[in-house]
Amino acid sequence: MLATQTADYSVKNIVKSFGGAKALAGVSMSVSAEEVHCLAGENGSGKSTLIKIMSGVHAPDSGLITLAGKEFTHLSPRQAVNEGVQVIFQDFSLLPNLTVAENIALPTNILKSSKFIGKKETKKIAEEALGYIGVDIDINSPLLETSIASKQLIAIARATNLGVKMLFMDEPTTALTRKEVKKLFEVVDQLRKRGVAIVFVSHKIDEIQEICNTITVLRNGEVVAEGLMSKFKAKEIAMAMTGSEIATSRIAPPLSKNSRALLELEKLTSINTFDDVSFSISEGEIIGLTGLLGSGRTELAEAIFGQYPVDAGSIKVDGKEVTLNSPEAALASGIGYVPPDRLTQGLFLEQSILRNIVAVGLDRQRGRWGGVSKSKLAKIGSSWISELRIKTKNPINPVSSLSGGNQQRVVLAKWLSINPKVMILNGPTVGVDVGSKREILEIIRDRAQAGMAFLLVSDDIPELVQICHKVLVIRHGKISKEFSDKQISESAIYKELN
Amino acid sequence: MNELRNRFASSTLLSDRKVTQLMGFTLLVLLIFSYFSSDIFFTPENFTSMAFQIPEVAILSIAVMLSMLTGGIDLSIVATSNLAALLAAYILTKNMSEDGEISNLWILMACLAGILLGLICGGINALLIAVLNITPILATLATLTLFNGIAIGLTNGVSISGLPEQFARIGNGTFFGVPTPFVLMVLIALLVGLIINRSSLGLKIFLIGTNRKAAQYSVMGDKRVIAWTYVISGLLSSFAGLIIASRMSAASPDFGNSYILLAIVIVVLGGVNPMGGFGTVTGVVLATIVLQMVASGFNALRFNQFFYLAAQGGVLVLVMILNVVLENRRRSKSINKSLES
Ligand SMILES: Nc1ncnc2c1ncn2[C@@H]1O[C@H](COP(=O)(O)OP(=O)(O)OP(=O)(O)O)[C@@H](O)[C@H]1O
Ligand SMILES: [Mg+2]
Repeated sequence: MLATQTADYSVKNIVKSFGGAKALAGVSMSVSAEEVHCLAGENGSGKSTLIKIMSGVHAPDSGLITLAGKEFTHLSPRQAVNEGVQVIFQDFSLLPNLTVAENIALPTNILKSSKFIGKKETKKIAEEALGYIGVDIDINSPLLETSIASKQLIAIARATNLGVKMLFMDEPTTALTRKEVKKLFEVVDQLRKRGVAIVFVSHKIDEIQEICNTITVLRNGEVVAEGLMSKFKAKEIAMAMTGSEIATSRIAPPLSKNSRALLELEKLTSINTFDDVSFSISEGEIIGLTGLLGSGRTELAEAIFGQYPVDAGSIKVDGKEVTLNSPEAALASGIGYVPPDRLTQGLFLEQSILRNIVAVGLDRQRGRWGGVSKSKLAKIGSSWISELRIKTKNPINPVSSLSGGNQQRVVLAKWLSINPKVMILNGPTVGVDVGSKREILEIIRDRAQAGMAFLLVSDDIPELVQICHKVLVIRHGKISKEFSDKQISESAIYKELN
Repeated sequence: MNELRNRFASSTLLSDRKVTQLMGFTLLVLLIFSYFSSDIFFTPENFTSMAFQIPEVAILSIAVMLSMLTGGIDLSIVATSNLAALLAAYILTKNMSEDGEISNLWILMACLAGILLGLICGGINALLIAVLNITPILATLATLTLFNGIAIGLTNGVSISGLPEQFARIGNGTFFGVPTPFVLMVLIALLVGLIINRSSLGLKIFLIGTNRKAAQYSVMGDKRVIAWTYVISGLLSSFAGLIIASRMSAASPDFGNSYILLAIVIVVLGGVNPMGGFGTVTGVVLATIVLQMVASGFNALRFNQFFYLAAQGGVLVLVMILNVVLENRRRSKSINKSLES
C-alpha cells in the first residue's frame, strides 16, 4: 500500500462530470516527493481531467485536494502555481515568437508581478534554469526553430523556474524518438532526486516501467489498480487499463503472390533531405518506415503526398507515373496521408466531430447545384464514429471535447472515409491507449486485406512488429536497412536505430 | 427523434446563440427608442427610411463577413462599390437622351458592367491573397488605395449625378410596399446563407477559418476557396454600389468611406469570430439593423452626430465585453446540454 500519511500531494474522492457524463467518479490518488507516479488508463478514462483538477483548470464537483499539506475543495490556477504545481501539457503553451530565454524567464516575472526585466537578466535566469536540469539549448534562438524535444525540455526548465514541487507531464513522449526520450528521462530522474513529485502520463508501457516508481490505473473515471510499479508486469498494466487481455502477436495479413504494385518509388531524391529512395508497396501490403527525428522520414512521407519538393526520381501509382507536386495531385491519384501532429495538422479543434470527419473529399458529397446534404454528412460521420468507436455522446460536439486518443481516431476516420488506394500513416497511434492501438492495427489489417496499400511511419517499434510485412529504417535520408517478414523483431530494429 | 434533437442542439450551439442574443438586443433598442421618442422614431415613415438605409450597409457587411470567416478581411469593399457605381453611372449618363430617357437595355448593360467590374476588383484581391500569399489586411489596403485612386483620377474627384429617372426608381421604389433595396438585401442574405450553410464551399470556408494548415492537409483547395470569398465579396460590393447609386441618383469616388469601419463593427457585433471559423448571416443582418436603429433613434432624439459615433463605439465595446463574459459559460453550457441529449 502507499504511505498516504506522508503523501505530499493527494486527491480524495474526486467527482467531476461534464453534463451527464461522469469523467471522474470518486478518484483518490496520492503522490509523494521523490517519486515518479504513473497515471495510466485508456483514452477518455479521466487522466487529463484529474490533472486539470489538481492544477486548478477545472473545479471538481466534490472531493478534496491536498497540496503540500493545505486542503482545498477547489483551487484557482494561480493557487496551484503558488503551491508549486506545474503542468506540461501536450501543446506546451509556449510562446512561439519569443526566444528560448524569454519563454523560460518571462512567466516567472509575470508571476512575481515585476514590470521590467532586462535582456541580461532574462538570459541569466534562462541559463540557470537550463543548467539546473542539465541541458544545453541555444537560449537566443526563437522558439519556432527548436525541435519538439527541445520544447519539452524548455517547458520543464520554465517549470523549475516557477518553483516546481509537483510536476505533471501529460503524454510528454508522444512526439519523441527513443534517443530524446532517454534525455528526457535523465532530466525527470534528476528532478525526482531533488525532491519533486512527478506524475507521468503515457500510453507506452515500456516507458512507464522504465521511469515510474508507483502507479495508479484509471478506468471509466475510477481507480482500478494502484501500487508499486515493481509489482506490475506489462501485461497486468494493460489488463488493468482495458479490463481484458491485449494481444501483441503479429497480425500482418498473408500477402497474395500475384498482387500488383500500387506505389512504386524509383530513386526518389530531395537534395539534403533524402536520397535515392526506392521501394514499392503492393496491394494489401503494409510497409513500416522508422528512423530518428531528422532522418528524413516525415519529409519522405510528405513528398509522396505532394507536400514536400522532390528533385529527382519518379513515383508510380497503380502502374502509372505521376507528378505529385501538390496534395491535390496526390489525392487525385489515390494517395491519402494522416499527418503526425493532430492538433495543428489534423484537426479543426473548435469544429464539430462531424465536420472534421467529412473534411476530406467534401466535393464528392456534392449533389445537384453544388449543395451538400446535412443529413448525408451526418450519416457518414455517425457510421465512422461507430466503426472506429469514437467515444462521444453527440457528433456535433467540438472535437476539442474529446480525449486525446479519440481525437486521433477522428483524424483516421477522416482519411479512411475517402478509401484511398495508398494510405500513408504518420504516427497513427500517437496518444492512443494500448487496447485501442490494437484495434487501430486491426482496422489497418482489415483494410489491407481489402486491398489498400499502407506506408506506416512510426516510432512505435512494437506496433511496426505487429502489423508490418516489411520495415524500412531510414538514416540520414537513406534507407539503411530493410527487414522483411521473419527478420522483423523489436531487438533487431532497435539495434539498427542506435 | 434523435436527429430532431441533434438539429435542435446544433441550432442553439455557439454562434447561433449569438443570434438569439442579438435578437433580444434588437428588441431592447427598439423598445427604448420607441419609449423615448414614439412620435418621431416609432412611425411608419421612420421605419421606411431605415429600410432604405439598411440594405447597402448590410450587403457590404456580408461581403466583409465572408473574408473574415476564412480568417482574412476585405478593406476594399467601399472602394470597389464606388468604382462599380461610377462605371455604371458613366454608361448611364453617356447613353441617356437630353431629357433623361434611357432604354431598359442600357440600364441592364450599365448594371452588368458595374457587376463585372466588382468581380474584377474581387479577382485582383483574390490573386494577391490566395495566389501571391499577401496578408489580406495589407493586400486589400493596397487595392483600397488603388481602386480609390483610379476612381478619383478618372473623375477628378467630381461625382456623377443626375442619373436617369428610370434607374433611380429602382433604388427608391417599393415591392409590395417593401423598399426594393430591402428585398434585394433579403435575397442576397438568403443566397449567401445558403452558400455558407448548404454547400461544400461554405463548409470549407468555416474549416479553413478554423485551421488553415489542417485544411491544407485535408486537401480542400484552400487557395481556391479563399479566392472565391474575395471574388464574391467584390460581387456583393458592386451590388451595394449600384443600390447606392440608384438611391442617391449619383455616384461619387469618395462616398461612404466610413462604411468600411462600420461594416467591420457590424460583422464583429453580429457574432462573426474575427479569427475566422464561426459566424452567421442572420447575425450580421441583425447587427446592421441594431446599429441603424441606434443611429436613427439618436437622430429622432436630436442628439449630436458625434454623440452617435461615440454611442456606436460604446455599443461595440459593450457587446464585446458581454461576449467575453458570457463566452465561457455559454460554451460549457452548450456542450453540457448536447452531452445530455
Ligand atoms: N471540456 C470537456 N467537455 C466535455 N467533456 C469533456 C471535457 N474534457 C473532457 N471531457 C470528457 O471527459 C472524459 C475524460 O477525458 P480526459 O481528457 O480526462 O481523458 P484522458 O484519460 O486524458 O484520455 P486520453 O488518453 O485520450 O488523453 C472523456 O470522455 C472526455 O470526452
Ligand atoms: Mg489526456
